[in-house]
Amino acid sequence: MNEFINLFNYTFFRNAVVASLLTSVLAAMIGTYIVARKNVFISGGITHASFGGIGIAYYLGLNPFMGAAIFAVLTGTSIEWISEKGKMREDSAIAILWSLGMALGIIFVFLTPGYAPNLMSFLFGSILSVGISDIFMILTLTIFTALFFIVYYRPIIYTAFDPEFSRINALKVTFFRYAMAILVSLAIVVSIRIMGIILVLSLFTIPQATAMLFTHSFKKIIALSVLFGLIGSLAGLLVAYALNIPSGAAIIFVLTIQYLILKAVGALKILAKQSA
Amino acid sequence: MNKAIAELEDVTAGYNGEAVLRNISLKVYPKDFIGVIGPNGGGKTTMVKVLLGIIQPFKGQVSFPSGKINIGYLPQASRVDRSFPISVEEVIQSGFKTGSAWWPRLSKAQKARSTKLIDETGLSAYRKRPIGELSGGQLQRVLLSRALINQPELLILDEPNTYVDKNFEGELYKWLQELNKNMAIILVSHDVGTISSMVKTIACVNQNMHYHPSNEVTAGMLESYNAPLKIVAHDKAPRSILNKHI
Repeated sequence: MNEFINLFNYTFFRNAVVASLLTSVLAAMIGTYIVARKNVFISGGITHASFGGIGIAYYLGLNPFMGAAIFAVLTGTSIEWISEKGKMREDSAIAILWSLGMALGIIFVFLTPGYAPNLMSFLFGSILSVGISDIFMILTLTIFTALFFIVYYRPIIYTAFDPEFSRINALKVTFFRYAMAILVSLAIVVSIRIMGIILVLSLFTIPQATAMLFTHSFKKIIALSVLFGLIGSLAGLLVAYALNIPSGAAIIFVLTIQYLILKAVGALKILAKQSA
Repeated sequence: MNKAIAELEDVTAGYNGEAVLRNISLKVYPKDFIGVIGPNGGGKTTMVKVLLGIIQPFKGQVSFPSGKINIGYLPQASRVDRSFPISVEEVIQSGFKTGSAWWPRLSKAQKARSTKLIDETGLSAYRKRPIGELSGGQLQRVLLSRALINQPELLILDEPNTYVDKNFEGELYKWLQELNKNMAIILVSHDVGTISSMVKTIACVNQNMHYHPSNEVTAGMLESYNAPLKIVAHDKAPRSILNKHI
């Protein structure tokens, strides 16, 4: 136990804990929106397309996360546009942007002269190298998203649930759907730092799936996702340290185990009720 | 005669440049009860969307001669995402026009009105329940409450029988007769039988429109269809009066 407490004496570990806790809160809000709108595949497209931005930024010697953010936002808003105009099959458009982004990323990383950047840290995350500036970025986005959700809770869920009716009711449907597409894209990009491109969606979906074992209220799903996300991230970090395995993978593993245990408990309760 | 509350004038409309409706005109007066019938794909829903302002006509115009009116709208059942995590109360309150407010909050009066409507429609026990737990008829009551919460002058129902709840259907029609005392109603359906028993006038829509100032469905009216149809009379026992008319 002491060993775990001593861990907190290390700055890198404290940063890792703070970053993953903040990300859990951010992912709880954004993930609930994604899951409610059944936009998990779209989010996968945004995540992978952002790799193109990382590659180009590397090639030009710019900040790779800035490149990822620009690519993610462009992808997120393009998909929203395509789904609104309905001129192209949405799933095909997502697949094209998804693979095009990855392809651009690989091409530009390959073309970058000199030492190839550590691709693994983008694909699988590198939580232990999170610095104060990363934490500040995640904190800013988390606070902004929380305020946006508190103030605009009603239009956010109304426009997600029934855009057509909202439009009849003179709600600013286009504004809210694009604003949310941008927030989803940015939330994914800042979380890539921790979980990596390949693993990041887990933070936006597994806590929500776990929460939905208990409730189908939008607000309560967010609240429970914060709880399950926090437990999963913290326990995942400790497991990663104890077993000396990559942290992103450990977090997903713990989140899934948590889901399975709670699902099993629920099933047993139902069985007990039926036999009583 | 009263002034019309909504009017379509020589409207041609459709999607992606292709017209589904051609040269349609319709006047809606206060306390009208218009049944809109026509085959699937004939443009009934398109006409509704033009009236609601969701799509702009290619040609012709939509106007509201007696000033801006509130329109309540009940979509087809298939348009509703029942797995969305939203409660009965939230759906009903989404009918309020919060519009472009920077801090969209419901007033006390609005909250009281939604509570009253929830009680009146027998949904009090379901107030906080997610809509996924409701039966078809209960969901329809929720969505109809959402449509009514702004006290509309015109209520438009798109295929209300798609909610498949035979127990509630009779109740719904009684409810509509009651509502019709205070508002105009447009009821869209491909089921001629149900419609003719309740509405005052009938409009047949199949690309173009034929308007009939009574609720009798005759063989002659169906010539505008060009499709097999069945009319069932409801005077005594239901009986078929026409089959596969082409």
